[in-house]
Amino acid sequence: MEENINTESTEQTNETNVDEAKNEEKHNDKPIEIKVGNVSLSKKIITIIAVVVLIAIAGIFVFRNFIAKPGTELITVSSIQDIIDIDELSTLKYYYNGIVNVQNEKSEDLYYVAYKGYVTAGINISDIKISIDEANKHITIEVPEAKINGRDLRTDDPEYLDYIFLKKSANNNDAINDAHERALKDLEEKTKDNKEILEIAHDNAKEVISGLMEPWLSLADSEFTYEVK
Amino acid sequence: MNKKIITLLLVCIIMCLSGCNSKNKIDPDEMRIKSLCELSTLRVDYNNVARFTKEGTGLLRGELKAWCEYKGYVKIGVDMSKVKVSLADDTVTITMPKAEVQDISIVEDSFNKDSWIYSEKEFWNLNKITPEEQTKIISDAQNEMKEVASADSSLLVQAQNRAKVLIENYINQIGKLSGIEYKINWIDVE
Repeated sequence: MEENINTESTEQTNETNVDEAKNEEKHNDKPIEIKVGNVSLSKKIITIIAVVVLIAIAGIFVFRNFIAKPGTELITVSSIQDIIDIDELSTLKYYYNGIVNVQNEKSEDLYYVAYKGYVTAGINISDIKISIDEANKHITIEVPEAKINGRDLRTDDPEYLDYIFLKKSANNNDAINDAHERALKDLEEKTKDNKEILEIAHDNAKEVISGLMEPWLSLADSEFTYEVK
Repeated sequence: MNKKIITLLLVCIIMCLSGCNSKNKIDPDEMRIKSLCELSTLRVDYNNVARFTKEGTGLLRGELKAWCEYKGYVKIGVDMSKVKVSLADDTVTITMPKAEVQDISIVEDSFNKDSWIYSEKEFWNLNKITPEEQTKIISDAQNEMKEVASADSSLLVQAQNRAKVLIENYINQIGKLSGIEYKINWIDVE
């Protein structure tokens, strides 16, 4: 009899253990919840977010270090303007030593005056036009025509004026006194639209712009080409 | 599990941030700097008058003045073979000689025999300028022009500044791409 009671008791205990195990299984089926502040996030959602963030970070890392070319974003009109800011280099001095032929009313040669002078010529950098062809990766820089900015005689040289008198009667104080003005007028007339000086001033500006552009562009994006005209 | 994810995230963020800042380091290249010196050479064109006075030696050989107007150009620049570049930490030291007249040339078709002006046109003056003398007069005028340009500090300084601006621009661009602010130490030598 006692054995029977013990057996029953053991069976009851076993049943109780099975129930507890079932309860525990049920409890394990519920999603784990983590509280972030007042918001509860499930473990699955956290895993998804983590994976997305990881992919994004990896993407940024790969793009920055292996795909994006350094400096590509620098090529804009304003960045080029900064590079070719050559105000101090845009004007140059050119020597102009010339000869004035002084004639009388009958167009007879009276005397010649040789003079030493100079002109300054350059470009206005604010008139430089820059265009970027993104599709063909080509930059065009149009340099404006040069202009004569100033001129004068080199009066610091004691021999800035010299004379050849063809008629002895012309060798007088009037000729000497007028020589400076005549020379200055001649310098102005001969250099006013002097194509050679203007072309050289233009070329000098183009060369300095090329000297600034070439190393910059090769470092910023070597796939780009440029033209200075 | 959560700790593992957070750790992994942190590692990735650190990698990404460090990757963003580690730009490709490029050092200033001496050959490039020297080539910029060449690019900076100034060409200064000029109009000049060659002048010569041949002294008189007698009644039929009076004093004679001869002038000739012609065109030429000088090239002013820095001798790139004398440029030295050294890099220590973030300081680039550039030793640069002063700019000088490197070349002087005549525009050949800018004058001919009709370009000469003489003080005496009378047939009886036997004091004439020979073709050899004409060549020497032009040559002397060229030497004089070279001296004038060599003594023109405004042109020399401008040529040197031009070289410096090009080099500074190059180094600054390298610095931007490398994430380094280079200091440039100029040493001017004769």
